[in-house]
Amino acid sequence: MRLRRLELIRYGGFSDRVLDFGAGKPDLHLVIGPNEAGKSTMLQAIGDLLFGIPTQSAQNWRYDYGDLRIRALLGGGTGDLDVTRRKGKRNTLLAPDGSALADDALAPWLGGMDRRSFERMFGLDHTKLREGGEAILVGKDDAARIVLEAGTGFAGIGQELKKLEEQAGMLFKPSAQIPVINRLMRERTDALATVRSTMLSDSDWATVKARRDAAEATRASLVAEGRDLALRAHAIERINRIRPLLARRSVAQEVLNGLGPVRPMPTDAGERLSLALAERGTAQELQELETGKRERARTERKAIELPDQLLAAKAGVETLASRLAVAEKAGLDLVQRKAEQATLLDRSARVRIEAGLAADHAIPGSGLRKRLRDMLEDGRRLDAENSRLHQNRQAIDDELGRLPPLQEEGTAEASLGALRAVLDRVPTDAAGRMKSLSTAREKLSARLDDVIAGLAPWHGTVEALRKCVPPAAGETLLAANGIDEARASLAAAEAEIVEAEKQVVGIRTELAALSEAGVLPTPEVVASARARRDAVIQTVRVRLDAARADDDALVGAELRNVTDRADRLADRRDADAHRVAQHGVLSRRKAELEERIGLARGVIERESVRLEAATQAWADLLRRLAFKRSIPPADVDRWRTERDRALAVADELREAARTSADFEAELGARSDALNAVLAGVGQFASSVALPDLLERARHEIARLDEMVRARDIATGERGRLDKALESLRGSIVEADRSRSVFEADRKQILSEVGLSDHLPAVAVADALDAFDELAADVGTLTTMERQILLDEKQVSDFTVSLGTLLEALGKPSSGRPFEQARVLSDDLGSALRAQATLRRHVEIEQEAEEGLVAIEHRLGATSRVISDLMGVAGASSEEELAELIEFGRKARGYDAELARLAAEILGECEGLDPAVVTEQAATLSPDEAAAELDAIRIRRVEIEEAREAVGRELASAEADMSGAATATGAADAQQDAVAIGAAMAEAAERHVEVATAAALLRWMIDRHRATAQAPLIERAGALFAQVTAGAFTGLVLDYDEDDRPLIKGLRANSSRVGVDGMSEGTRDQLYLALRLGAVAGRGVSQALPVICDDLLITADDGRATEMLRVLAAASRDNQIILFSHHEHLIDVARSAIGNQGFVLHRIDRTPIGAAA
Amino acid sequence: MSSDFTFIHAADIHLDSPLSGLAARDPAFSALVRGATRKAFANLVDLAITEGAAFVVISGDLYDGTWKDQSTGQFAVAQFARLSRAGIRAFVVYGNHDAESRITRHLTMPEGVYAFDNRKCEFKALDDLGVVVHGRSYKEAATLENIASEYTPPIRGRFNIALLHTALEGHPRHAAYAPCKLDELRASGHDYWALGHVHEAAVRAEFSHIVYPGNTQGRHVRETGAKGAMVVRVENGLVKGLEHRPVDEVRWAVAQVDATDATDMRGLLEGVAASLRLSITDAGDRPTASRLIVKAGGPLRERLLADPDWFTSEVIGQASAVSDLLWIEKVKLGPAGEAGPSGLPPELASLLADAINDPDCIRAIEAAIAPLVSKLPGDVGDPELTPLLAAARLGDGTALLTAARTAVEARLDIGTD
Repeated sequence: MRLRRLELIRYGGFSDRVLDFGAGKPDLHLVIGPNEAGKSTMLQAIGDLLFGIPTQSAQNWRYDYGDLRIRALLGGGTGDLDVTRRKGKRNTLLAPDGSALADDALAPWLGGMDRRSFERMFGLDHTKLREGGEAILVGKDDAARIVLEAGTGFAGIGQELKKLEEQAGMLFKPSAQIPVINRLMRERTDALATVRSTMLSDSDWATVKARRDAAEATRASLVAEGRDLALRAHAIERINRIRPLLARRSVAQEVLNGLGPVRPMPTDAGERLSLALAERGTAQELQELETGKRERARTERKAIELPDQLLAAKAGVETLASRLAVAEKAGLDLVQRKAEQATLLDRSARVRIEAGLAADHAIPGSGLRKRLRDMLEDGRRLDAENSRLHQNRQAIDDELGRLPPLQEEGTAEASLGALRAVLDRVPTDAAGRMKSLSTAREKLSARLDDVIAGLAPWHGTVEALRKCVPPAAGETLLAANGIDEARASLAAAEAEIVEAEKQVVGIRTELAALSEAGVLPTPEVVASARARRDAVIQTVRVRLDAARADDDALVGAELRNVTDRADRLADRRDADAHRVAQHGVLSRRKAELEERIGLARGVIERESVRLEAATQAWADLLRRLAFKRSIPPADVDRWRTERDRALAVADELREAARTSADFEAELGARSDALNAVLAGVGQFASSVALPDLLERARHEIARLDEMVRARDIATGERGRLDKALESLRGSIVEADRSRSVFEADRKQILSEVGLSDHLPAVAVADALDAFDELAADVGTLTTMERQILLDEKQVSDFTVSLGTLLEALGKPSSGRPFEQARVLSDDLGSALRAQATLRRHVEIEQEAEEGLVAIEHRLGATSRVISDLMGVAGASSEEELAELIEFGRKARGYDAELARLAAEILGECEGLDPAVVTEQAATLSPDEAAAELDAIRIRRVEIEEAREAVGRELASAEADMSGAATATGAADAQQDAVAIGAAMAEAAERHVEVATAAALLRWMIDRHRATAQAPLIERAGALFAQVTAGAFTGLVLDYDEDDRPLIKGLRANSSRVGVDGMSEGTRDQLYLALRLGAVAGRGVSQALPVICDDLLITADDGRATEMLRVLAAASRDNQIILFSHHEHLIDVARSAIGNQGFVLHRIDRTPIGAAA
Repeated sequence: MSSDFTFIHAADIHLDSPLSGLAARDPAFSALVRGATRKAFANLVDLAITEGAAFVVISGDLYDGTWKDQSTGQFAVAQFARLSRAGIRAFVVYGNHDAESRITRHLTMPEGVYAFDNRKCEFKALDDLGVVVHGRSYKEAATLENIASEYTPPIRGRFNIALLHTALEGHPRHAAYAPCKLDELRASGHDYWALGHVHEAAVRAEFSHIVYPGNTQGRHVRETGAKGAMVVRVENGLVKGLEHRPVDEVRWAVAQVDATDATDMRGLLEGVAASLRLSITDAGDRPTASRLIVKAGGPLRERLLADPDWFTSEVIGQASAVSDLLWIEKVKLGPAGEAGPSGLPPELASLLADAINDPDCIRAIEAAIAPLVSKLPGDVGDPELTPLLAAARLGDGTALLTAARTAVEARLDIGTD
């Protein structure tokens, strides 16, 4: 498939732009235009045409989404297709007549490609070229991978394979410790070991239970023994307790036996005698007291006298006293009520006059007064209603007066419509979009500044940067090599000096050590010593022939000395022979090293000069390129990349500025239109700035809106008020009718009451209040007269009763009845109290008489008790009786003591037979008992200790048993093991996933190598030869030491160059050759246009020439469309492939057409 | 006639059975899930005491199969002792797991706890309540005969409860032990069949009642929702109230997100958060382990497939924002919808298509995972959760290759953009 024609009907900032690619002879199209001409938009349009306009496309800034249209004429083996693409979800492909084509109408033309595949495979730009070249370098030892990546356009296959293999390795390795699964296996093993070690097994549990049972049994045994010992100790202690009781019983029995026979006496004889004597004394004292009391009562009774006449009239006096308070109150009330009666009568007469009621006219009854009151209320209500109606009438008149005059319809609506129509055509959020464009421009500008700054120490403008061509790779390499070699030589020489000096120091140390061993005896010294020895020997020989002399001994001694010295020197020299030799060797070595140091210093001097010259030459070169200071040659590549980036940003900035200007122009046109409409409605704007105009237009629309709305409101309000006025008039007529009926009623009621019908309502209301007052006074007077009659009767009745009583007592009336009655009542009270005192004295006398009789009886009884006891005891006197009673008490005491002891002994026997216990006490001596108790005590202490120990054992066993209920160690460890297992399973699943994916990817690479590598290498080799201008004659596969296939370039002299020996540019060319070779190898159905965007941006003219030749060659199979903003490429192309070898298209701001 | 009373019906307590499927990623959650089955059993005892239950019936699987730790049994005894001290009697039939367990052989149950014989059905009468409890324990795990048919007949005038550990007429996730028919139980005349074995609570019939209470603690993500026991209120010899009450400590949930309409990760993650929030609605203050199943398509699906670890970490982040008590058990990508264009060039697509039929490719893939398969412990991995691992063990090269192909497609499609 190829594009015969491309038309941007409405797309991005363009309309009706056409690129005519013709019939395809030739089919290499060079599209040249500055960046702002819309090159990027064209590129985008090709993709959108073939695969649809994306949902979030940014190409709607001038035309709405619904208006976007791209049209193309597609050519291919089966004919042509004229198709237009619009934006939407379906039916986005249109035929020339506007009818919808099937959504998949382009599928047969695209060879199964989707957009991403198309862009990867058939889209080529400088960045992809560079990334592809780098990928080739990274994968230099993997020819199959390089071929697959270049052939498919996927530069990341190798990276994905590496990532997958790394991920698989991080998860698991067969013999490693760190990967996740390996670590989890160890942790799981540990957790399972913890399960086993902390689990309470059957046997563990049985052991714990056995421990508990054994301890239980031991404790039971100890408890039983302790119990037996306690019983025995108790028995001995019982014997010990009984032993003194038995002794005391024996003594008491002996004393009782000594008392002899005793006459039986009642056991209470002593007590009875004592009681009788005490009773007798008490009775005698009471007798004296009662006699005195009787005599005192009798004397006081005789001194009292009673008023018998008053006591006889007791009932009458008491009756009168009871009525006294009521009668006295009635007298006082009578006086007060009579005064009030007179006052009321005066006031009633005065009120009647005030009410205007004739003296003979009856006071109106309550019914009449109510009718009068209702009449007054009706009058007030009618007055209020009348007032309200008139107020409402006034209010409606006021509102009608305030309403605006009626207006004509139509004018405001027309103005409003015109303004809105113009405003709708102004882009929404123009200011925001303008600001956004401006912000984007500023960001790009700032980014450009940053990138330019990043080029330091180079400095200059963008234009200077465009002209600044950095040193070529060869030049850079040469300079770098020169500097590096000088530096390397310097470093080597310095290293040699350091090493040599280090060795010299070592040698000096060794020489010093050798010297310190002592001065060596030189051969001369040894020879001198031997000569001396021989001289002395000669002297001795001479002396042997001569007579003995006195100093012969001295000569002999000297001979011995010099002989010894010569021998020692000789021995020492022999012994140190090795040391001597070593000293010599080291001395020679030291001299050699010092010579080498001298030579190396000479090298340093020479290489320093060479380095300075190379550095200076490099710095001069950079200075000419506007570098403030030098940078290392190795950094030039990086700087070049930064330069490319800076230029790309500069291009983007220019594109953004152009877009901004376009948009501003469009806004200007809209402003003019808006200004014209505003002028048409009489709103001349003082400013033509769009924001001001928009504000003014919106304000005008709001004003007109408000005007229309106010008119509508006033019309509605006027209708409402007219209706209200009509209703009010009806209410006023109704109110007038009610008033006339009221007036007739009013006259009738006033006549009945006796008032004039001319009286105003206020006077009538006052008269009504007076009538109410008079009616109330009449009731009060009637009640008061009845009470006065009752009070008078009370006073009269009391006075008559008092007179009758005074007459009976024979007393005269004093004229003050209430006071006289109160005195009579007091006198009667005194008489009654004296009568009561007299009766109490009589009773005391009688009681005393009765008491004396009783005392006589008690004295007789005591005498009888004493005489009876004497009779029983056979005593003749009270003293003898007392002695006999005491003798009997003692005998009874010992009997009781014996009985008590017997009981105590029985109690101590605790149910045992006392005879048996007595027998035991008799057979167990106190000493034996003490010894046995002591032994028991010791044994019991031992048992206690044993019980304590077994108790601890039992507690321990039971703690183990109860602890089992809360022990969770094994369960927790099992949970951990399961969780670790789950984590391990997850990791294993992931490992399987990535390891299998890696294996599959590796297989794909190998498979591709086997099936597609050779033809691709061959096709690409031919292209590579062209693109490198003959520097290489083709590509070959070679193998490294590990027998891995490598791609190598083949030189004309048959030498082979690996990818790491190629320059960066050559690697780019290799990638281009591989890509175009792969494209060319596709079938006809998949031969789509290759779109190249600024592909040659970094190529020099020579390299661009060759690349254009390659593209021309490739255009025989595929349409090639090459976009560029480099004008000089036209000349390069003409020179490389001639005018007939390509079609030139220019893009500028005017509609474009094809030009050969 | 029986008096009014309340009893608790529980089953499948599986004491000290570990919760499975939770990878030990988070120590805090690991600490929470420890001892969950024990805590659930203690909660059951609390429930009985709080409700004033007259007695508790446990219809089998108190213990967990081959687990041999006697501490587990002693814990059970301690809990039964709590019931006993509160005057609450307990009746237990042993199920298939108990029959397997060695723990039951060494236990001495406290007073008031009765474990039914495993040779024949027997019954215990509670004269004070007018209740008769019938039951029979399993003698061996694989009890495949119909033991319900041998149960003692109901005693007239009493409220008859029959304890039975059974799969009834069968259940897809439970062995068909002690099989019997629903109609057969209904016809028996017992008032309440207290069943166990199936882990989902269900009232299979009413009057007479045939009830599964479900287990007391979910043990993996297939046992979702509230787990607990039935509180049964009996008045005048009739069941008047039947309520399932939760006693579980940790809850399991499955959250599903349909992101087929989502266009970006943000939309997807918003859906994830909403779904996770929904999954813990009824959990209260219980920790919840939730599985997230995401249905996605197109580029979004490819992105999730290409870097599942990254997506899982994003989901975990969302979960922590939803609740401190929510943990992610696993993130699963649901089945793909309609397959879209792969975005791979025909060369790669063709290579992938060829791979399926290439024995060398399958051999290469099997060789890549052979070291792991040979070293990985055999009991690690659930075929449902780790299907690729299962396929690796079974030597299912086709399945492995299909998965590898999906992964490669996703990675190439995403990774190289």
